Amino acid sequence: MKMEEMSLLGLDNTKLESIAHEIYSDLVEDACLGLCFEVHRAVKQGYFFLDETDIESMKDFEIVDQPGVDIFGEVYNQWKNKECVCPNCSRSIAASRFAPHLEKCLGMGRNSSRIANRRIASSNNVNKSESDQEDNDDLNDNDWSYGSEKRAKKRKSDKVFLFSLKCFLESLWQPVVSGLYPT
Amino acid sequence: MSPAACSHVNGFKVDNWKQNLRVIYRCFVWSGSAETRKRKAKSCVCHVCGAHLSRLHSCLYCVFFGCFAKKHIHEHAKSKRHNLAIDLLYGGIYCFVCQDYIYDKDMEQIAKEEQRKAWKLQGTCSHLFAPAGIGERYSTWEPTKRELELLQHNPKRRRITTNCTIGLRGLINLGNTCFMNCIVQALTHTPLLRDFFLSDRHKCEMKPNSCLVCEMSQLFQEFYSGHRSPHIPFRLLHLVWTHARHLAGYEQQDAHEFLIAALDVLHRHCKGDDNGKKANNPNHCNCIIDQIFTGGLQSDVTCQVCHGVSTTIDPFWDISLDLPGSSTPFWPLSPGSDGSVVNGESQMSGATTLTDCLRRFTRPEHLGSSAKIKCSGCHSYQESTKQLTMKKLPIVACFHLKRFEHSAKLRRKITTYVSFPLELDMTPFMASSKESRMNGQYQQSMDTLNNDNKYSLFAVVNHQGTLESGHYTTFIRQHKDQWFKCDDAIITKASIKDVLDSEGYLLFYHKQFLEYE
Repeated sequence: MKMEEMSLLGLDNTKLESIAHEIYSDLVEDACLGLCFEVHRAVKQGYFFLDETDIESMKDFEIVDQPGVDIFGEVYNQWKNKECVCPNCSRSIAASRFAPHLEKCLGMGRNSSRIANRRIASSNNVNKSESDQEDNDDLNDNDWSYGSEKRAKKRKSDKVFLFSLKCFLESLWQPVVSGLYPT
Repeated sequence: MSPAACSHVNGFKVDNWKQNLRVIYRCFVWSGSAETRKRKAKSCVCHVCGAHLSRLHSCLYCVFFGCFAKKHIHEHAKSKRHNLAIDLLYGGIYCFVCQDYIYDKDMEQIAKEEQRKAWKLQGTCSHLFAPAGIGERYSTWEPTKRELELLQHNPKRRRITTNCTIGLRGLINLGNTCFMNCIVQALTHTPLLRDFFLSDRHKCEMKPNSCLVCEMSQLFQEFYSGHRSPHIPFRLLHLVWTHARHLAGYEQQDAHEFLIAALDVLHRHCKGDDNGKKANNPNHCNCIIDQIFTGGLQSDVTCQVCHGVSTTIDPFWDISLDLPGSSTPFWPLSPGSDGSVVNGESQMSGATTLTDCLRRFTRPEHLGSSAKIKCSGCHSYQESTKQLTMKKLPIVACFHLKRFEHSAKLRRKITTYVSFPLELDMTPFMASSKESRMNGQYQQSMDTLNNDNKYSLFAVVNHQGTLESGHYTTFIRQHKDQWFKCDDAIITKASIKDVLDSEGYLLFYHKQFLEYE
């Protein structure tokens, strides 16, 4: 169709409407063509089918909405025995007790200074029992409650006995030991 | 050679082909200004039949326009052996030997540049339809060649649909660490933060295993991995406590304190992403934390004698709001109004709303005679009023309802119910609104076209229990209307009603519309 200039004045409504409709359908066609080009390009460049998902495996991720279970379909409170490795001391700690352990491990908080003072006080009494006590404190995660201090004292006397026994045994094994681990 | 290109373009790529191609694009394809549009309309007609709309193509070797629909361009190509033509509507290059549209990297580069230029031109000229400074035209993401290879080698794709658990994961409580877990849930469901980390934008400049931002990045990987068992955030706790020693001690801690401390450490560790600007000055940092969370709070102190105003603007990451029922009186909202109000008691009907709290926060406050300010206008100490307004809103606005009272007399939790909306309009609390009110212009008209200040709720942190022992949980929004309750390791579906009926301690709102800067 040849293009020619025309005036819009003096045209009746039906004529104007048909012109408007023509412009409109041209625009719609152009838009559709644009979409076709987009798809064509995506297919040719190889990225059209990229976001296809595997229907079967997507089923694994469906949300569960039932009482008594969480969205994964698991029963509440079954995660009891999780463990993690402390980034500070590299020990394996139960996850639910990691925070109190870390607090002592990093030497933070009011409890840690109390324990540290206790250690300093007791190290003046017995030689070399410091390291044993440290082990004891870390294993016994109830340190922050007052009741455990009594238990710790009792164990200390056991430890002194064991330590003496250990020294005696070591003196027997000394020649053998030094043979095995030359310094 | 990729399947998209073809070897027949080599015949065209000789001499001054680049400039010729540019001219074609500029004149006949992308018309940036009114004159080029007119010229295109007048001159682009089919040389055979005079049509101007049947998918006109221009020959690339000579000056010839032919329509595609009636095959006039095909005839020309055959008779003249000019085997390349360009579609004048979208700029695609057609090869008559391949009989298909082809995509040549060099030619596409030229097309893109010319299109960008025309777009920019359009922005400045036609001020009627396009606002000034229209900026870059949005183009969708396309994979690079390497990305395409990787994607084809790894065909298993995970998509986050409305019924998908990906993005949701429980967190093990490490011993009263629910204060940390609730904040982690809110952060991992902050859309912009998620996008930043999943597109791997963090460039680390710190020693390995010491950067909190790297750990955050790892956290997002864990949340989107599809694992169903809860994650153990022990490394996160270790890093935060190492870098924020003031949070020491594992006794019941405050989630709000943790949020601020965590944001601070993240902001400090973002140095590598800072584009070279100083990370020390909070007003000039460009890290992702500042881009998302930092807003500007304007404080205006008005001298009661000379009415001179002294203004300061301070950055903020959150807004702490007083509640009715605390020892500081909540009502009236402005001095002198509503004489029937008794100290601390509300005469208003209905529950307190978040908007009430915000209005109180931004009310003019009379600084009494014991707190006179030195006025630079009067050169003496005068009584004054102080008013806070929002100068710049952050993309994510965090509201902290001050439920924990630690005054000299009492330590208690304020459990007053405060209702908060799903959608919030911050316009009345902006510094600009206050200015127009003062100038007598009332912005009461529904300014629905101004979307700048509209926010949507996406996370709510709640505290159950007492000041001494309690438990934090979070409601987070995954899709438009899907909410989930995160209670340490247990994630369950929640209704919007559950969320809106909850007490609310920390409320996270996200801007609805993001503008280019």
